[in-house]
Amino acid sequence: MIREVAFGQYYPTKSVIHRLDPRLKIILSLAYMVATIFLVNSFFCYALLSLFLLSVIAVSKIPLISVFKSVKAILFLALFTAVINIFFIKGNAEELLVDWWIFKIYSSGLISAGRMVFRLILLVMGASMLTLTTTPVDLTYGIESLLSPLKLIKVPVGDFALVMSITLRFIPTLMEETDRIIRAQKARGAQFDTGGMVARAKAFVPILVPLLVNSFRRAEELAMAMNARCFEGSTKRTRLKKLIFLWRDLFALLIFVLIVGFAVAVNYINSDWLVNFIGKPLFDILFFDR
Amino acid sequence: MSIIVKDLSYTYNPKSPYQTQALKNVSLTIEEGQFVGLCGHTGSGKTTFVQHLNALIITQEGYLSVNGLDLTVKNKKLRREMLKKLRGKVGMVFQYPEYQLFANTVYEDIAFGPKNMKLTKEEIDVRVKEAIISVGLDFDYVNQKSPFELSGGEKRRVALAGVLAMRPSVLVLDEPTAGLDPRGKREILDLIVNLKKQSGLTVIMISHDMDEVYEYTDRTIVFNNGTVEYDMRTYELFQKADLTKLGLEIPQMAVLNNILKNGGVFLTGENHTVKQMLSALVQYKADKLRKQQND
Repeated sequence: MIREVAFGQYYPTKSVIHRLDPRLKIILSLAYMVATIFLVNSFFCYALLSLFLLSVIAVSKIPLISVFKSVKAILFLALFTAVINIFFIKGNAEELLVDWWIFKIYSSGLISAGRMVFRLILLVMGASMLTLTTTPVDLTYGIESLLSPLKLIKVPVGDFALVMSITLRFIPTLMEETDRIIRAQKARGAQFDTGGMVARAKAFVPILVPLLVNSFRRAEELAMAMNARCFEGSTKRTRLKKLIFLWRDLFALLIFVLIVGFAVAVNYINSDWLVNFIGKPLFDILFFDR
Repeated sequence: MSIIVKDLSYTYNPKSPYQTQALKNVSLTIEEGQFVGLCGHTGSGKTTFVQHLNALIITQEGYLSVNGLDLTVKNKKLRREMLKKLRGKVGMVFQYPEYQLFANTVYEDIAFGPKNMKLTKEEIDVRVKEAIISVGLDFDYVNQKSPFELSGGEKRRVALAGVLAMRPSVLVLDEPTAGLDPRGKREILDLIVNLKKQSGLTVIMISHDMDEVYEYTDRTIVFNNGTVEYDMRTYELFQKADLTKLGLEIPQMAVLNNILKNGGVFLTGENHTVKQMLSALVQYKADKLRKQQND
């Protein structure tokens, strides 16, 4: 039951996307997220970005369902935002669609709700594409390498990276452990899905206490094992696998800049100019929300 | 009352790249009062099988019943009722059970199971006392202590007591002696044998220690790649020599027995322990002497 929650877990297939430089993937994912949240706000551009995302998913050979699993986790949040937007955004009188009892629904509310849901879904799917196609180890190397300029101002980047890789390393272990403890307490008749809020919260004490105790024990053991092997945090470390920026990475970067850049550009181009360029009818269809 | 398993199969993470079949068409029956050993190398399906017995794993394929309770019911309400009855009947002691202790005091931890069974306060009191004594701990000494203050062996006993306090009729143990010193091992196993004698408990024990299995169990089931490879009386099983192929050791006493046999020394009875072996040898010597004198 625990395993299903772990969305965005690395999905091993052999694809170009998997082999891209993790640094590039991290930067592009961040850029993608910034673009979806801050830079783009018309449906036409969202459609462009989704098309781009879908083709990335297709190239990565990851089944669409696995990517959608991450959306499942924020489904409630998306619905909540949609409902808030639909009921609480007030538009002009001519935009009023439904007027029933205390509910007034405006078309601008619907458009805004659609925009928010679109944004959230694209955001989560984009982010999970990073973790689905990059092993935790690569991800850590990537982040460490990206942060390495900070070494100049004496930030212990290597130590941060180590902490992060240990954290990532222990997520599955702790999940397994949690699973085992849940089973053990269930075997003693513990129930986690009955009773009120307080009873349910209390039911988790028999899981959390052993989990916490065991984590400390593990941390201590790991520290001892590292000490025994003469580990020192501050020394300069070398890597078995060096990150190298290849031609395919440059190619991927170009494609990304072209498509996402186009989407962002379209979003900011003057409406009048666009109308002149593609004609009024087409403009009204593509940019109905402008 | 017994455990009936028919064509049980189970696959982890079906339809994903991590898919693995853990059990394939396992069928067997375990009678009441048996002491059964489960063997097999890591990943052979023992633990998956055992977790089925307590409905911790929902059956995917096949039939499974414990003491007449059908564990494969799909109906939610019926399933909940079944679980309520089952969890008191099948006691499950996991690997390193001391890592699941959580309460402030030993008393509270052991009372967790009985409390979940909605027993009265008096009844819980009786059961906790009984359980602490039955695992060989001093009630007044440990009762109000924190379980985290105890030694490793004591913690394990407390965890065991936590399961016994539910008065199960089937006790499932997943490597109960792992990580204990030889004396601790013996103490835990003797304790289980005593419990079994007193209450007619059915015991199912997963173990990697073949000497342990040979000495304590009546019957041994060997798992290999999710199927039952062997299922027979423990003594007979270890007279076979091809268990090493499955990554299992031959128990010392069985090896000795075979060496003696090959040397023409046939002992009477089935000798599982050093003591039994010694007395059989003494007997053999005496018989031989008597024979010589008669001649």
